[in-house]
Amino acid sequence: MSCEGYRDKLVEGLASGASSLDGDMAGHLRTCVECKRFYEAQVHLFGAIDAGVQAMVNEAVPVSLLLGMRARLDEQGATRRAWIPAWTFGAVIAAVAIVAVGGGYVWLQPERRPDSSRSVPAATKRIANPAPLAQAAEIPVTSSPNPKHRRASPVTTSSLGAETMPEVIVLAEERQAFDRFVSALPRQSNVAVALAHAAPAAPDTGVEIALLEIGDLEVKSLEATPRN
Amino acid sequence: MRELVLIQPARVLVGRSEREEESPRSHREFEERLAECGPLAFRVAYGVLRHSADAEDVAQEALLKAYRNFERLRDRARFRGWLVRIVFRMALDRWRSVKRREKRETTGEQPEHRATGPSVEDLAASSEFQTRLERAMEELPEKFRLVVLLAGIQGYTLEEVSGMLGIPMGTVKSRLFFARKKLAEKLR
Repeated sequence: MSCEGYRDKLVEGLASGASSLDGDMAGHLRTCVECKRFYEAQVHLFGAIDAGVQAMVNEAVPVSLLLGMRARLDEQGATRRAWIPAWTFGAVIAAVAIVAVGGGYVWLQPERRPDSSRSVPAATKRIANPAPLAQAAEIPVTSSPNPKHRRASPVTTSSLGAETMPEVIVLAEERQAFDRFVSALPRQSNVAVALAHAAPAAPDTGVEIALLEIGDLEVKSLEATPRN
Repeated sequence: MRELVLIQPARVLVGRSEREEESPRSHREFEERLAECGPLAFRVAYGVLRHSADAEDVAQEALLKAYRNFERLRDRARFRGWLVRIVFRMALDRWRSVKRREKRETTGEQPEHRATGPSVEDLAASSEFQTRLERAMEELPEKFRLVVLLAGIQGYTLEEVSGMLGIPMGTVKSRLFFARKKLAEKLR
């Protein structure tokens, strides 16, 4: 092996942190003065690198670091504790506002408005038409022998401040999803903020038309229609 | 036939308040780790910035960021490695912004010429060697630089660095080897 080859191996050995030389290398250094001088210089260089890196990272830690940090943590903790109830309240308001706006939108559409003359039995909680949420709100909630219904409406069985909390009417099968939505809202500030504001007008976005389901359809002859 | 039910969203949130009780527990747990991890965070930041006040500031910011996200860290045993990465990343960001500001302020000045000629012995003995070493460190790829810094901190073995960064011991050694070789090339 040439001196160049030995020097490369020497550098690699020092870079890997090897503490001893192999027999072949040690033999070459005994016979080659130039390589021995190079080796000593490299040992010195790697030693200086290690010392330099250690000086770089082992700076004395200022006492103010932990003191300042503890103060900031306490401050942060206090802010956090005060912040959570505010968001809780905001989330409830946002959720109620969404449902109210949605219900109002449905109510204002004449073709989807339910016929007010149609009466709904007060003794039952099952409602034939799911669309008119506003109509559903008028239905008196009473105790029912139906166990499914009792499970689905805890408000009627509990008296703990029931009248002070905002109430929302949702489809029974969507209740759990709504619960999850309300629970997750405080953690998703961007969603809560977005829901509390009107959506910007986006003329280019496509409109999705929901399927219209017609339960009862009565076809009358035009001749029989009275003229106004 | 579909059923409508009347529910109270506020009640859902009342149930959640039990979960909020975890916060003080996490707070205590974090404070317990602070004594050990605070100095580590400072040293990593100082290794990048080499300015005590800046390093302290970055370490505090990183610790605060770690605190805010502490509850999301599922494996608490990985806290040190997680914190080290946060500190290192924030220190690099700070270092880059400092460099940009310095560059703006020194626009138009002559670039600094490197001294040529002195032997390795002379360089090692001088403070100029430290300056050149710092520059050489800055030019290292980030993942190699982080390993060199952590391996240089007193009290941390290569096994601990491996565990801290969540990488195999062989990877730590090979990164250290590559980094030391590169540094020697630049300083020779």
